[in-house]
Amino acid sequence: MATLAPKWPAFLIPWKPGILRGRLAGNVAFLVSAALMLLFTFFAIWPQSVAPYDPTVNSLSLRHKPPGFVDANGGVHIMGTDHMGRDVWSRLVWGARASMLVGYTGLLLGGTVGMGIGLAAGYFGGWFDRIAMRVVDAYLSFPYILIAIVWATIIGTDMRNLVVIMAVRGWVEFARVTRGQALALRERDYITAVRALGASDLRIVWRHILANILGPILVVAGFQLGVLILLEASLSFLGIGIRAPTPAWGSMLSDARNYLNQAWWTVLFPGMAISLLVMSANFMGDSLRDRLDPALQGKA
Amino acid sequence: MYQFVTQRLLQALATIIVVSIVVFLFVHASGDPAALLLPEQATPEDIANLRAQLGLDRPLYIQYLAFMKDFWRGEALKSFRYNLPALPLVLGALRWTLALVCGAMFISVVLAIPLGTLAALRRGSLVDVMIRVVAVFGQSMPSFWVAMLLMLFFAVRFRVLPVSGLGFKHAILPMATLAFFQVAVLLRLFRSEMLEVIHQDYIRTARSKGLREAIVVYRHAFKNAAIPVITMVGLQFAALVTGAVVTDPIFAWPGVGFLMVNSVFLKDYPVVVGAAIVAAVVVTMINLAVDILYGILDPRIRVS
Repeated sequence: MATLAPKWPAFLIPWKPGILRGRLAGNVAFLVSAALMLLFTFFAIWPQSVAPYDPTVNSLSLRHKPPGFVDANGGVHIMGTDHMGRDVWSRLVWGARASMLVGYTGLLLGGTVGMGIGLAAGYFGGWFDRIAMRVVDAYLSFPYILIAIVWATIIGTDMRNLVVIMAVRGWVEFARVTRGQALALRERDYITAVRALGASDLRIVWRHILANILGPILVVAGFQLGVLILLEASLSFLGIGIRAPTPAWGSMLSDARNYLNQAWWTVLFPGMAISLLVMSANFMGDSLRDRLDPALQGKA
Repeated sequence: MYQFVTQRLLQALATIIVVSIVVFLFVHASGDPAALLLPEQATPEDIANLRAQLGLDRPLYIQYLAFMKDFWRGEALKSFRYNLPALPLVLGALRWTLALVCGAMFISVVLAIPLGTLAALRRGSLVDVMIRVVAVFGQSMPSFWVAMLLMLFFAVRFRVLPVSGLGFKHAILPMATLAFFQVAVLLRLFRSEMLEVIHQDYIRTARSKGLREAIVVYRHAFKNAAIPVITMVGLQFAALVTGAVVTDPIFAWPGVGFLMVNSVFLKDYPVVVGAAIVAAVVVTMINLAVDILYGILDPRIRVS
């Protein structure tokens, strides 16, 4: 069964009737998560257009005001204020920037490196393949957060280091999936045909293999985005991620920890933001996978 | 079988070596200890002398081997803070982490298997949908947030469980937090495995022989569906340790996470590094044990 030309992946045409039929629930989940993703991206790019207050300005007179509180100037704090009198909703919106920035750049960097390694390992095989796959196995069976903590202790974490930490976590799945796909495609007739026509390895990998595996790669990207956002939040929560005063969801929760019995809203909202974003990323991955591979439908 | 075990052993060794090299390189990159140990007015010759004395002028791979040798003798890493070898400190904390992790794993398996079976047998029913929705939620929530929510409800609002500390009652909330995520993962897997198995021909044969449904499900379907779950249990130990590291500090549970995070703030590098290596070894050993168990249970794995 040779695919002669790179096919446009079917999931990019969401309204094709055959795809929609009988899968309304899946489509609703996809649309909702895509909408949430766009919303969070919007927050990250233009936080000042949504956030009513400066996320770093504190005010002692406004400490721990409950959601819906109206201050002396008539300003409404829909999600209340934190232990330093900062508006929780504004911090939430600005916090999206840190999460998305670190998550997306880490994903992009890790994804590129991982695909490069995976293509080399899968297409050429040999010793490089064996070593790369040992490293991948080691990675998958090890709690990466320990490495991240060691890294943070010794080298420290500024924004750039955090992105590198994310990328060093993120490349693995990309490499694994790319390698598997490249390995399978390498044996296809059309690759032999292209090679017989005199195409170089580089051309085969770029035009005929990479183009045909973009679908599975996007699925991995969806799931990995969730993983990386959770990792960043965990590091920020432990106090070794994004540093104050930059608002980040993880560090907001870390602050809230000391006031559990006074201000439940400082616990509830940042956690919901992280969960929603991660869930959207997972749903995107899930529904992309369903669209790409009908055999997997209905399975977790 | 011997070949299978040897192969797995070598893989485990490779994992430990990869992790230890990474950790060693981190320590190496953290700066020149000679410059830190000497007073500020030290001459370049003094520094060079001390470097020679500490063996820092040797090639990197020799330094790595020396580092590993000292590490296993418990001498390479001394806690700056406590002025004790880091290894016993780490092992002490690891004991508590493992207690949590094993407890959580046990609870998760006990919950996930019946729920997964139920979801698979009543596919598409309300129960199935609800179980799956909870599972999806479970995989998206950050563990530390779940920990805080549990604490908010059970310790702050209703005061039925203690907030933090060490003890049996104190272990319930941290264990529940970890189990929450494991149940989600195992349940999804078990459900899909069960669905796969239940549509196989031999299940139809078993039913058409007139066997009772309970026997078909337990004797024929369950046993085959459970095998991949065992692998997952092994793989998930890494995830559980991650969860424990992040949630330890919340509950003030004296595990590896608590120790590491405190050490980060005290800049006690040797403890952090030691904890990472020891945890790597333990997780790898657990994986190895599960892999071998898997090989014993499923002859197909051994052959391939």
